[in-house]
Amino acid sequence: MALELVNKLPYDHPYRWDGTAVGGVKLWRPDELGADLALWLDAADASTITLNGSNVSQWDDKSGNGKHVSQGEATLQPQYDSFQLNSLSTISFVDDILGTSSPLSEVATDWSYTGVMNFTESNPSTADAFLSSNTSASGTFQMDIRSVGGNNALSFSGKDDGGENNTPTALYQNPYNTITGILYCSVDSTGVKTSFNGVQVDSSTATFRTGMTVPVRLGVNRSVANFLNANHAEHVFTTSVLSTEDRQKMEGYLAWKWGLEANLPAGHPYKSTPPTA
Amino acid sequence: MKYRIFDTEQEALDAEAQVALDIGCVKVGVNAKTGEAQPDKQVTERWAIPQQIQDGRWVFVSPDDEGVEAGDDWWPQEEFIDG
Repeated sequence: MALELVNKLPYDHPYRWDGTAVGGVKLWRPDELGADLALWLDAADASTITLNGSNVSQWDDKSGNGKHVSQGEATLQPQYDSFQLNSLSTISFVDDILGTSSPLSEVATDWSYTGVMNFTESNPSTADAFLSSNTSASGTFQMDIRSVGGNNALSFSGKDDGGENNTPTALYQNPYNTITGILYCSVDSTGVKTSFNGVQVDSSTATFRTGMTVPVRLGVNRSVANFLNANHAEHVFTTSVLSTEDRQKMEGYLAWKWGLEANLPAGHPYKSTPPTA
Repeated sequence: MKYRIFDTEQEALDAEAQVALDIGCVKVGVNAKTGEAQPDKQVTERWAIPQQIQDGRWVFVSPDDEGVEAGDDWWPQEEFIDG
């Protein structure tokens, strides 16, 4: 089966992703990373969502590590399928929180994060976060909207290993408008690197505790005070910094799945076709 | 968003438990794809955890129009964009 025909199948059709059963190609997915996959949350996969009415009480981890995110308090549960990207469901957070019950202990040293988000934020006065560690201790992180170099930016920030607030690393500058994009950041002993829609945006030498010794939360910052209202599509954590090849495959997978391929830069290897396994 | 406000934590806990009972929010969730009950997944356990505000009283989010708007001085200071 030609790749073009595989791509026309519905997202939840079994042969969309594994065309080998009908003699076609198999599209690349995060589970191709094997043991490097630490956490994989996919809002488009309804089978991984537990609902309380229209609200989400649990979003299952597809990595196989059982690091599901959940919320037992009704007023803090995000809403399912009130916003779609490329006709796929997302999870909408409005002052809501989902979190793992245990640390991502699979992440022993270095790690990376790739995700797809949609949100609108205008000139925030506080560091509103969509993803964070669940404490404000040294070496913990958050991804938020704040000022970087005089401009508001979607950024990666936190406290370094010495407990000092680090200089935030920008993911996207001046997000005064609605943003839909592919976010990537990597953390290792040399610092932090960030990309947006397949283009490296920023880097820093901020040293975080490499590894993840505390649980993670979606929807709010480390001190549980600053919420970023946003639509969450997909989040993937890996247990190492992705190689350039794997990072581009991840970007290609997310871009074609969520209808963002036009946002990839010219010259990106998956600008014209999705990655195959 | 309105809040119900109480002098003591116990009063707030009792009131929150009654709200949860009245609106039936404590329940087992269902799978978004199949609609089947999922007792092994996160159960919705309560409506809201009462929080203590700066003046010592206790509040939780109201499920309806009963209650008062949050005061500017209710919560601990937020984290500002200082790096």
